[in-house]
Amino acid sequence: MSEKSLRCETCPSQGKGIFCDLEETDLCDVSDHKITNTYKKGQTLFVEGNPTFGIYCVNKGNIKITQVSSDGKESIIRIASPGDIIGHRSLFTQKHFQATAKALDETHVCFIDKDYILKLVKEKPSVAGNLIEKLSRDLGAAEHRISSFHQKNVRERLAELLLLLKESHGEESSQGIFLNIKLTRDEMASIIGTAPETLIRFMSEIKSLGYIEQEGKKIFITDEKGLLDFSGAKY
Amino acid sequence: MLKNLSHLYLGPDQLNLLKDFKEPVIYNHEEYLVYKKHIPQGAFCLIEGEVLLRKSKTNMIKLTPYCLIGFKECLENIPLKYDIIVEPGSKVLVIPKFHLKQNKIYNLLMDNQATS
Repeated sequence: MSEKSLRCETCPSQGKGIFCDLEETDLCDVSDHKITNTYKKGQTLFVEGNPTFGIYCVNKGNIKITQVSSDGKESIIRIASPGDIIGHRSLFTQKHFQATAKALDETHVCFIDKDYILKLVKEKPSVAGNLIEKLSRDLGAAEHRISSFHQKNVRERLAELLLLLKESHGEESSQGIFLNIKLTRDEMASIIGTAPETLIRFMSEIKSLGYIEQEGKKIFITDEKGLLDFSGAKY
Repeated sequence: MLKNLSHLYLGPDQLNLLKDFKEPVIYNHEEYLVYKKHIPQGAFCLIEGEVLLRKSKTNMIKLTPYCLIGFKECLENIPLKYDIIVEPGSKVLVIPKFHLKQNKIYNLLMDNQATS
């Protein structure tokens, strides 16, 4: 399906986004106001510190959201997948983006400008409700991440990351649950706050315990329960 | 290079009309406002600083101040043939699609766009 013909009413991510409870006529209106583009791997949607003027809905593909520290080190704060929206927090609280968004692979993204979104939030309670729910989930995930950094060691954080990726990108296969997302070891290390060498060592350890299999860069989860116990997760 | 790209040179009155809808913003870091083959997310007018239109590594021009570009492509979902890159410290007026569709702005732009 070309970007031009991508309508909200027939979007493959329908049911996951904030507009999905709208009536068909309203969805049509959103379709008329949005701009859809395909970003190649490495292309940037927005840059930390630059002005914000809308939000992005991920239709297909994955986007990494990063922040740069004062010493120039880039950290991945989350991965956006189909159905996710990005840029929404800066929309309501800041005049500038608080992070940079870059495509991890070929990504279809719909942009909707700020003034239209704010109009929609005022006029359509379902959009406001879904946005609040999304912000609440984001807050919960951020709090959990802070807690993980304090309470879990690197091994456990790695196991937790693999389980999170299984939830968002897991696909059943004959070898186990395939994690259908291309993340480099550097990127994975950045997410859990460790050095790539440490990540590689602990990946080997988890593999030797039989919880995962690796085929080149592909990762398969072979023992989810074992990985869950290893991560120290309570539920 | 501005051939085949909708553009309009704004006078003071036109600039003020557009500023009523949107204040110019300052870009702190270099950014691709639009990638080649992308539909622009709004119309862009350079107020201060530098914006580059780039077709290839050797074929690029600097946008002149008060030139508003990309409004027709944004309204009609036409992909651009150029990258549009904003340099750090530049002040740009960005008119999003929501405002471009408003009658006053739409008539201003459609009646006055430069011919290619």
